[in-house]
Amino acid sequence: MSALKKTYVLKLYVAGNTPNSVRALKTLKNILENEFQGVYALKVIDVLKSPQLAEEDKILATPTLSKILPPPVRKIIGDLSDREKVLIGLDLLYEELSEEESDRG
Amino acid sequence: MLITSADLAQFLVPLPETEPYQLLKFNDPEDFLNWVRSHWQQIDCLIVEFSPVVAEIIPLLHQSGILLPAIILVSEPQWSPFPKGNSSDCNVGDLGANLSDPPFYHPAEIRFLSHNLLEVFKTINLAMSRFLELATNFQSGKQSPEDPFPIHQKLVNKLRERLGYLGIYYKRDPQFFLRHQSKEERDLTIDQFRSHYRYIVLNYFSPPPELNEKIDEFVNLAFFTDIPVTHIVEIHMELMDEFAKQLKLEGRSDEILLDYRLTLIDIIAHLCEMYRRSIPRDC
Repeated sequence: MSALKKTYVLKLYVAGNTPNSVRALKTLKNILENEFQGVYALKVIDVLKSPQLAEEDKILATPTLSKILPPPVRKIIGDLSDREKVLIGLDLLYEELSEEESDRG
Repeated sequence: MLITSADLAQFLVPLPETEPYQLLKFNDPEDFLNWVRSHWQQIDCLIVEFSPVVAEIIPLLHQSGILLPAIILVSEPQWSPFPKGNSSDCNVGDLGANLSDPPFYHPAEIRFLSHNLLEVFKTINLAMSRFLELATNFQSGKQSPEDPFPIHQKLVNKLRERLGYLGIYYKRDPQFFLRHQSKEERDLTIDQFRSHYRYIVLNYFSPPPELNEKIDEFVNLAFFTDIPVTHIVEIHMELMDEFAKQLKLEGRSDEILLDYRLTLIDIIAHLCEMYRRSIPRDC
């Protein structure tokens, strides 16, 4: 559906309530609320409670952020403190650049 | 009853008339399997003589989802399906002792030494009550580690494992909501739901690896378009009606379609859990 093209579906895998997980979630929420203008759903999943889910999505470390939509699926491992890395991983930076370009053109 | 060896068959006496059962004998495993598959609802109890052929039949019964009370006849100790056990494992008086052996067909089956063939009919009731006990245990959630009801168990496990969201943060755009779409867009969206749903239903019981993703995708679409659940139920009913018609045309029973209610439950449970865990923002 065309309307869903700019829709992001993200999964954040954490293992319990570790400081790293909390930090990752905070950073991510911040990015999504301040820099990302589109529509999104961020599912937070505890791998300790849902090991099957982590296995299915081949999660090897936590926290891991996985971008399900739009394709391709991308994974970012770590507490997401490197903002730029997250933006690139999510294709957000690229999108911003191409939007700037189209604005200029 | 499946008896393959002739010397065993000659010991077989007619069922006493006092018994409420009708005995059907088979000596060809294939006939047996075909008959069980087509008449499993009328069968009270299976009696099979253990043989290598039977070892091949049992997985086929599992595959067809057919589970019935069963008595396994073990003719001699060396015929035992589990050579590590000794012959007393198969003794009627010692039914509880072989529980540590992996069940051959399901955990409620009864092993029986076949030289006691005359006694076998008395065991039918026992086989049936043990089977029922297994079913009740399953319903109250105390199911044995063996999985006697793969389909139902699958749903419970799947939901438990797949829907363990801690929380869902989201931002939706009301512009995408079904009720705010133009008529053309809405038709397009509903069509998309239909084709997604058809794919999920058709593959539900023989899941390709990406089925979960498809369910996820369907539910995400439902979430972002804020589609009323009644629409999803309608899509389900339409599809089932269509299948029922097709099955009738082919002269087959449409009873199997009842199983697909699990698919609907799965989808709705997923959607429900997504809303339940969602931590809303402004819309």
